[in-house]
Amino acid sequence: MTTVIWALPLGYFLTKQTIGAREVIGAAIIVVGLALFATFGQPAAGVDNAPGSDWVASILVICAVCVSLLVFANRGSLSMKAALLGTVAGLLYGLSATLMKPVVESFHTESLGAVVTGWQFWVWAAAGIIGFGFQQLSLSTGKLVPSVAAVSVANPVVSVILGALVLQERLEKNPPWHAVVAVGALGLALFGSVVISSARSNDDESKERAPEAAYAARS
Amino acid sequence: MSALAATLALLAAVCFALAATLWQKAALSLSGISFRRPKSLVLLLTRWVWLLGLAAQVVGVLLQAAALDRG
Repeated sequence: MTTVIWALPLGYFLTKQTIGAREVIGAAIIVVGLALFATFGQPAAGVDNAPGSDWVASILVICAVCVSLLVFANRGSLSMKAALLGTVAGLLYGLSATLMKPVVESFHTESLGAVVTGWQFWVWAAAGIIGFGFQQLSLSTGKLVPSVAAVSVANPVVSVILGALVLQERLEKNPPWHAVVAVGALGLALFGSVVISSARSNDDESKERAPEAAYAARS
Repeated sequence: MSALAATLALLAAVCFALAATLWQKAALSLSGISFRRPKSLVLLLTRWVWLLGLAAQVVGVLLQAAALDRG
């Protein structure tokens, strides 16, 4: 939850990140948003599994969103590239986290054999591993804070959406304004992430590195 | 949330940030990391700075699990 705040000093000392006002303000907004979400966004339990068609539909949508984010990843600044690749990683982590529920449920009610023969286990593992790969690519842009911010925001956003749509976890508990605050808080965190990744102060540097990065992506 | 759980969660967050920073440091020491060059990713995983980041991530996950366990 507070990871992005710690990335500021660590990045400054270990990898010589330039920390501007946008990074600090954006990180503060993200932490406030995620803290509010953690306080007001505890969803009702929901169900442990869902029909295959629901899963397939949501996996297809996530894949489509990831592909469109990747299309834009090579077009903007390096900060934007770090953020878009980080968002893809966060989306896949969120999918993996949601699939964890039926996988754990299958482990409790059935056997390990049933777990590894079920498709959910493999999608859970694949989403986690591919997400991890995209996180490494995102970090390799050199932009630490946009990357960390994007991963830490995209993950809860997609977990909440999938939890609500697929596992019927509802935020509407008593009092109902909690759900409104929780969704608003995620919106706030998303805004903080946009503030960080659209930091203009780093653009001179990113222009310098951009051809090299574009070459690296192509080769 | 108890004070202990909050402290554990905070330490977990520090570990996650440290992991990301070390991974970034390792990635910056190589060039051309891409899914189109799987070798580049394998090479990354063999860097000791990267492995240090993995260790930080594992500690972070354990601390987070401990924090969740205590509410």
